[in-house]
Amino acid sequence: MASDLNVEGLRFRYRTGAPTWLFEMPRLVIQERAAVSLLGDNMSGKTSFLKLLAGTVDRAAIEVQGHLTWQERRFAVPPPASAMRDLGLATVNQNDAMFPELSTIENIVISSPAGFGRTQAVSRAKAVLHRFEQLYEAQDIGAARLGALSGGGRGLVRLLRALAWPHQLLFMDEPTANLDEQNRLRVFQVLHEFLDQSATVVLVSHLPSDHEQLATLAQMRQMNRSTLRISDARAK
Amino acid sequence: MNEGRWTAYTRWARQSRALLSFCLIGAIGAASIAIDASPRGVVAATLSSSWPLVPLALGSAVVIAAGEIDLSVAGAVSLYGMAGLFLASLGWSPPLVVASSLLLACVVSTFNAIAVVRYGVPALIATLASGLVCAGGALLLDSVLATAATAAVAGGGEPAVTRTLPVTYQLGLFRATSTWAIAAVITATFWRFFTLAGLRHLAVGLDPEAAMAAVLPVSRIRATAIVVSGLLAWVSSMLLHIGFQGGGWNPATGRGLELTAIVIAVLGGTRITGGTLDPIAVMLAAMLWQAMGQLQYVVPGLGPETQLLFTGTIVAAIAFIQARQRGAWL
Repeated sequence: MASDLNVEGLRFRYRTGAPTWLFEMPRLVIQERAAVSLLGDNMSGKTSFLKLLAGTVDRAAIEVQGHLTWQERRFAVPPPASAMRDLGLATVNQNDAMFPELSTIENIVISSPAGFGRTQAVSRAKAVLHRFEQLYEAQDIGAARLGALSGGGRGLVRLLRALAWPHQLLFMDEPTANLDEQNRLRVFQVLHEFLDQSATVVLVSHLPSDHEQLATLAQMRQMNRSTLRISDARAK
Repeated sequence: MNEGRWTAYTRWARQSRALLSFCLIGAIGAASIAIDASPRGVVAATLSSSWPLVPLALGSAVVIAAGEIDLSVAGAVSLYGMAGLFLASLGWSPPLVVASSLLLACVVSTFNAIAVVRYGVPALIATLASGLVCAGGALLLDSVLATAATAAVAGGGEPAVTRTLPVTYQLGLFRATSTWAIAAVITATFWRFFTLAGLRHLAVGLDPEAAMAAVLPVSRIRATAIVVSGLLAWVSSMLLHIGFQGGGWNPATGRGLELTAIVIAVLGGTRITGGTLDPIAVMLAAMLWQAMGQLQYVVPGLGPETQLLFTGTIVAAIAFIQARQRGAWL
């Protein structure tokens, strides 16, 4: 199906002169409406794998081969990040910095994909924030400077920034890192509230509870549930 | 964005450097008038000398807001003006002269953008180098024009060279040079406050890494900022060369203005590390700068050295106030 992400001939290594590829993946299909847990040991390349597919990897530091096909578009890996975003890829990375000097709504609007003018983007962001404020009985988060929010609040805004725009594929890399238990639960509540019906989620997390929450979400939404072990793709 | 419009405007007025500049301009103007100066003369002198600086300072503010810097503007102003004068002396029509000098501006600014963004040359170095090349080019054109003038006089004729760009270059609207400057300010204000592109421009200046995480076209925004700075320098160059030169072309026109533009941008609230921009405040800061420069002509006995001391003190005081308002010393 066009919404399945097909990866072919993916090989990756750092430009250190070492001949060994860090991982090789002859073929991978991430299906539409799937909830995928991406598992692997520390330093196994989970984050790098997601960044390769999202096109946000540092191209000067890596050597990669392979192609991906998604939404009837074929790209060499790594694809242009903006093109993937415009096709409906959303990413949440706990290391992603935001703009504490800008307001919450500005932080959301700033990531709008192509096709959204200012008025439309602001209107959509306001609608998302209004739903969020109703969910948690919060007030006027939109106009507040992001830096004035708590760490948990900023983490949730980071997730909202990804979910506010049309998305078919969501990559989440340690989305609950540095959050307390209450905010970790809220991450999945927000996910359940704002995730598009046909979207696929790929989750990287070292917390078993996060994968349990994803499994629960998949069951509630009747999504295909699967596990991908990055170690299976490591070069022999 | 949830607050009412009036609240937003008053908040801007309170926080913007525009209010500070406006008050200082008013104070200097009032003092000038009190010293038996003609009010109309003071205002006219301040405004007419401000308009050419406004696009230049605005260009500096735009490029600084994106986290870059452009030190080529001084040499570029010299070169674009001299190129225009040179082509006009060859009998080229005004539209062709304007288009040719604009093309030259596009080439120089694009070169700067490619050097900085594509090849990673620090903006400080790349633009300083291109500025020196531009200044040298202006001097070269000056020597050609001077040689032609000498030859014409030796031949018993009049030097067929253009000393200033003719009045036909003026737009004929209410105040010719001001139209260009005001149009630039209006366009920049709309872009800054009412478009996503303006918001993203500031985001790149605030934090390039966060901008990349938000999948913003960081390289394109930086390159565009450098090109816009160069094009606004071209606008300033045209304004400086329209009928202002009293006695001949001057290849030194624009010399030193790169630092003046940066100071005015900072006086107008542009943070030197990037991420802030207020075109109206920059325009008022340019007027404030020129108003301070007029003092030596208004206040009896106030020589250029005292005027410089006064200007420097005011600039330092404003920077101190801004730093305290921001709660930081940087």
